[in-house]
Amino acid sequence: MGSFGTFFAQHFVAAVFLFSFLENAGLPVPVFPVLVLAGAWSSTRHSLLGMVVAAAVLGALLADVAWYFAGRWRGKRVLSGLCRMSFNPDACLERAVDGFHHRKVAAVLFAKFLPGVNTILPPLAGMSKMPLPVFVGLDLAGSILWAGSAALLGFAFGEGIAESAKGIQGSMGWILVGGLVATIAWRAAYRFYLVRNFSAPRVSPEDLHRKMAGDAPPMVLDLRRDDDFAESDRMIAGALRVRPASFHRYAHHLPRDRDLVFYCT
Amino acid sequence: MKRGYERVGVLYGGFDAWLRRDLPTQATADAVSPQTA
Repeated sequence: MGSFGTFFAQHFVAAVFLFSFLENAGLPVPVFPVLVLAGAWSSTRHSLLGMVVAAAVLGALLADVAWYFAGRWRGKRVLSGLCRMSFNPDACLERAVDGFHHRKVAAVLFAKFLPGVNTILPPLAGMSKMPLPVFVGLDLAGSILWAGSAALLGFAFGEGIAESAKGIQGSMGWILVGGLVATIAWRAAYRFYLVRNFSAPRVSPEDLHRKMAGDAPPMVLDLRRDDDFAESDRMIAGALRVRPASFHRYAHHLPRDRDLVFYCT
Repeated sequence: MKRGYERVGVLYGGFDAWLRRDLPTQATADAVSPQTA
């Protein structure tokens, strides 16, 4: 692992490109500190700062454009798959789609600063048929902003960070692996907490249909997003419609002595 | 977290799963809200 740190120091532009590509492809790789470190190393060789930022931007752009086309081609299936890796998969898709619809430009520009959102945005843009030149332009600007701010941070505090980095160079590989393990462990623990405290039982369509025909039918609520509800001309027979944005108005009036079943798309 | 509702469930697979099984549906134009139900 000591040789990893040496290798990184000698090939950090290539390493920045690889780390940026992997993180934007969806892997839990902590690229922001890598960029800060690369920026710090560039403080002694100023010409390398531009190369570091360019490498990070290129890696990000390649991954993002690939996800853009995946979203364009496969649509919601891609987003659902990506959301499974998020902290809260059940709300991830709804939040991502709603956020994107309301603030498209800002969403793409600042996505890289928001953990979890970054990987969802490119396929969402593809799924929403955002024109490719518009997406590439916004993503390029956002990537430059993100990579530039991290590298400049390292560049500005260069000497102090570079001195500290020399001290840990020998164990840098272990630090990166440790960071990766810690990130995955945190996500797993947070997911466990959410499921344990907030999960609701799942009901199969067949079971629900059987219960609705029984003596104590549940109250079924259609909570589909407005766009999805408007596009569809059908809903479950006997279900009640609640717009997600209005749910808080009904929540306290829902019966407590009756089973409630919610459904989305 | 204190939960007021203990009898809450989520339809597995969502409306798409309901449709795939050809289960009964109604027109969205006939939709009723909990307030008017």
